[in-house]
Amino acid sequence: MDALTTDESLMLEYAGGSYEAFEVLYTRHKSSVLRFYRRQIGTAAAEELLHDAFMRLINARQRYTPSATFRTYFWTIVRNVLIDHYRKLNRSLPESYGAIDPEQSIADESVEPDVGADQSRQIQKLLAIVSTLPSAQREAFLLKEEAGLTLPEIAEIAQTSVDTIKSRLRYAVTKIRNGMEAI
Amino acid sequence: MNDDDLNEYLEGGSDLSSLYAESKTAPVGTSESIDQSILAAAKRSVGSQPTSAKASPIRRWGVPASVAATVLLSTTLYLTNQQEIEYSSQPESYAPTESAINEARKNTADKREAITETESLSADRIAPLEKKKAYANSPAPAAIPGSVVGKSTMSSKENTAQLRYQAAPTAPSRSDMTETPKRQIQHGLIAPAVTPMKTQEVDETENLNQASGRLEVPVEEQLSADFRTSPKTWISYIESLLASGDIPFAQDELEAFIVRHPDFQLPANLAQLTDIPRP
Repeated sequence: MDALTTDESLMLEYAGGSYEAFEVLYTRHKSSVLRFYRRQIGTAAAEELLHDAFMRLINARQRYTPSATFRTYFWTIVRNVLIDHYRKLNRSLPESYGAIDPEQSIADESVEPDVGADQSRQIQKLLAIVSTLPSAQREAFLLKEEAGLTLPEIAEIAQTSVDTIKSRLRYAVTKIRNGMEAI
Repeated sequence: MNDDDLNEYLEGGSDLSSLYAESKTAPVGTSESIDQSILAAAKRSVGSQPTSAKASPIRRWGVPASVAATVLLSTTLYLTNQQEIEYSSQPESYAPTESAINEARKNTADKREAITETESLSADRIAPLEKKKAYANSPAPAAIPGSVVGKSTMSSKENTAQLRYQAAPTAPSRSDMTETPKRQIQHGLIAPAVTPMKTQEVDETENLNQASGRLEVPVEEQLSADFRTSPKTWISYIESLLASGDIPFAQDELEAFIVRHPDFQLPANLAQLTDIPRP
């Protein structure tokens, strides 16, 4: 069991009773999941959601089949935890999730920037801009950057069309670039 | 932003992606308690698999218990079914076999012979008695196959069928209750019942008694001692009839005696009996 072992193999080994396989999976993915939650909803509830996401993975280990990639499987769980968090807070998803045109959303859905003191000014600026994006666009951008998912995979996880995800990403990237150039 | 710029970004070669990747190099500090909680849950989940299998008797014994229950149930059902089959086939097994039918026919023939012998005595020697007493008030006697009373109109096939019916454990109807003695007579199982009112209660002795002309002498005595074989006992019997005041019977009996023993010297009291006019 080394760094070359795929996530799918590790998940199967864990489902077969290997605790070490889960340790590797946890080490591989906990940082990206935690960053995703911190930059999507803020640092306050990020660890709680991280805990919930991995607990769901533990409980669902027997249901995992190699037909789905572990990345899609696991990040679907991560996003479902996020959606449940939104519904628990507001009883509904943020407005940007339902907007046909991403620019129609006028509500302020910005979160606290996940900025560290040891980060460069550029990175801090980048993360500050990301925190101001509408939730749906921010989610699409973070799933692309943190999980490394493709456009169809993001659409599958978000249970929406590829065009919608593509539109959200287009607006997100445009805003980030415009914000970075304005510095 | 045009499609080319977007496609470049999606391919991961954009400066934006590179800049964001730099943000991921900073260590993400998770609290120790979260790590321990998640890893402990994972360890429990892994450790619970063999533990739960070992601790759960339902899992361990579920399959063997199910198999045992299935075998037990199947065996019980099979045995119960076999018993039901045996019960349902019992009437068939009760049906008389060919040997039983032959034995019944043989018994019937023996009884016919006995009855015929008795009847022949009555017919030959006590014909007047039969005319007056026994058969005067009785309906047509039931047919006894091969007997002097009547001949069976039934074929042997019908007899066999009726034997089967009699062997079947079914309750007879009211009409059967009156018909049963007749059938039994026809099959020689009992002697004919002369008086219809007594058909349900008559036994063989009574029937033989009636068939022999309502003689007061018990049938056993008639058959075993057979007083008519000895002139003295016959005379004694006639004298007893005379003493009891049954003069017509005594006269009938005396006439039969004279026919049988024409040369016998009658006692004086019996000699006068022949002169008494009949009513």
